[in-house]
Amino acid sequence: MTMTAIERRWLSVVLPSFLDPTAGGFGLDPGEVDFERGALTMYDASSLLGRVGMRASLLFVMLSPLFILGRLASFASLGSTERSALLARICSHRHFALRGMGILLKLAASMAMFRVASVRDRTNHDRRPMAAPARRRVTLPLRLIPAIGAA
Amino acid sequence: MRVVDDVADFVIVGTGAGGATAARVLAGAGRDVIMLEEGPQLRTSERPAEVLDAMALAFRDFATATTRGTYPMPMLQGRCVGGATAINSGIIWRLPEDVRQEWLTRYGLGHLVERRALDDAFDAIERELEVTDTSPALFGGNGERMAEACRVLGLPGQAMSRNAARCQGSARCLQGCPGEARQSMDVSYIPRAQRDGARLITLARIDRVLMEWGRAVGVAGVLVDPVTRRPVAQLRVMAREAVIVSASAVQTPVILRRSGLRGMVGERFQAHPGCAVVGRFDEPVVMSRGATQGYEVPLRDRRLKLETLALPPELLAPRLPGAGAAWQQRLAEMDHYAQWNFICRMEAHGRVRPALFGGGSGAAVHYLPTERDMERVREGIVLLSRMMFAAGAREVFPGVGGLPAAIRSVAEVDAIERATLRPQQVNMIASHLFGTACAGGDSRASVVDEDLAVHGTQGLYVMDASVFPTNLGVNPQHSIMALAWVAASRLANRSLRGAVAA
Repeated sequence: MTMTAIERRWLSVVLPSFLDPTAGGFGLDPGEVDFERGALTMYDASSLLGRVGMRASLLFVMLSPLFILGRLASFASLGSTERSALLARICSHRHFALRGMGILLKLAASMAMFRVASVRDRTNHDRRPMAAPARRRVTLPLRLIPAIGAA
Repeated sequence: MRVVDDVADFVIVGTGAGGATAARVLAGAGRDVIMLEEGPQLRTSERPAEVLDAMALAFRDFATATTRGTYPMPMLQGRCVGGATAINSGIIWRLPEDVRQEWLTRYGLGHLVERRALDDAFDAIERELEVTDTSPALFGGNGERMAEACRVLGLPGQAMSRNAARCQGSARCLQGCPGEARQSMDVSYIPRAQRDGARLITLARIDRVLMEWGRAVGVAGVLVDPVTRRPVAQLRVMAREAVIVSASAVQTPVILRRSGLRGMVGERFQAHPGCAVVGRFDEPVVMSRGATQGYEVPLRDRRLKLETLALPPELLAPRLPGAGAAWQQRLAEMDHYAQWNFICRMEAHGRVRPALFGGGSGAAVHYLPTERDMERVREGIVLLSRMMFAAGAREVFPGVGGLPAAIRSVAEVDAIERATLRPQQVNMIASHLFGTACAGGDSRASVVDEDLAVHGTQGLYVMDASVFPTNLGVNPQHSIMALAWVAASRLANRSLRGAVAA
């Protein structure tokens, strides 16, 4: 059960929208993250129900301006700040099913983003690597330094 | 489609804690063993550090297989050589004495959990798998803060015992230990069994046990493509002496039911569901440093066990509330977060059946926590939130739907304590699964006997967590291994005696 072309396009619209490029701070460079590829890796490895859930989540988010905001508009037609605000509402929705759909897509977005080393670096998450393992002490041969003036 | 045939004395389905231990014991006793694993063999050098790729390779269905019903709960299962031991943190707990006593008196398992045999098995496994307490130097910021919270609140915290004596604190248990310090089955008992002559067939999905007049004579299934997971060949492996099913508490009952076995098969499914609480600290925590899990607070009387669980950014980011500017601000300081979780010894019982459709794991798992279970879940969330504040957290994310996503004071924790939690409000994950082929003396109320042989059959055994009559309240890997060790040793001895007599 592969995703259709339109669903793949929706992935590229919805997943980057968890970030608001106008907000400043943590952001992505254009083309830095391949959201579609990341999400499809997750989709391909998922159970049949997981795949259905992912597709239903995408469809719901694309139609969410109607369901959540009561506006006859598609998700793609919203501005970046409105999109991220809408996704935040879905992810904290009191209904488990809607909240679950939002979190599933947020997980897919995070998986795709933090697969990229440059993005990961910006989080400081991996900073200060563990100290090198204790090495066995090596005894170096002592070289006697001849005393000054010795022949 | 081509057909692959093979034969051995013992055919073991599954290479997790139970199957690998049985293989190690039987092959060590000189028996001819074939191990069958549904997933791939992942060499340490091939295991990616990125969670997306690591989970796609080693986790069953990317952990998207869930329980059925109004509250779908994801189930974490490994699907690779080593099973769950290749993706867990190697936490070692002996079978708690109160559980052993219950199995002894209520389920009539005196022979199986006879103290001396069990202790000998625990001792041997601990010696072979380099079990040791986690050094405080490996607690990392995550563990140090939990230790601090325990000190402030007077909780009985302790270093975890793990099978990773040479742990370097890379916090990558989930993706695969890069230094092979964790003695998961893929780097310990499976190679050892192979050195003793056992054979391993990977990407082998077993559908059923072949039965002839009540005797297990082999297994049948398919070999699958590693990428598409589509069948590429039929597989039939015959067993001269016995078939041992060790495919987990979800897959084992599915295989047994597809083989025509009924009764209690698939009943009494139990678990240790849990959820997590995240806290933000002023000072860096740096979860990427230290053991993935190194510190714990066992609260057996409350049926809870609190643990540290360091998360990589891929899994931490979705736990941080919001989207847009607020989320971005949090992403930029991901080294300031700590995450702790609890597992709950739930009293709920569910059941497992072969899936008619849509079950990626091939199973339909029906399971719903009881009201009392949810009270314990609430208690766990409240306790972890209080501990976060006691350790100095500025902000805590309890992850309860319908309540504020972020709380900033202990007073706000009281609101959670007063709330009646429904399962739908929390994001629980079930990681320890038990009981679907439970052991017992009464054949009407159990599936296997004290030797872990399936009642009413010959040559068919189950050696995994599905034989546990109850859940434990602690991490089950060590108990699974010890029971498999005891049962496989007896099987090897009987088999040798039979050979000598013949």
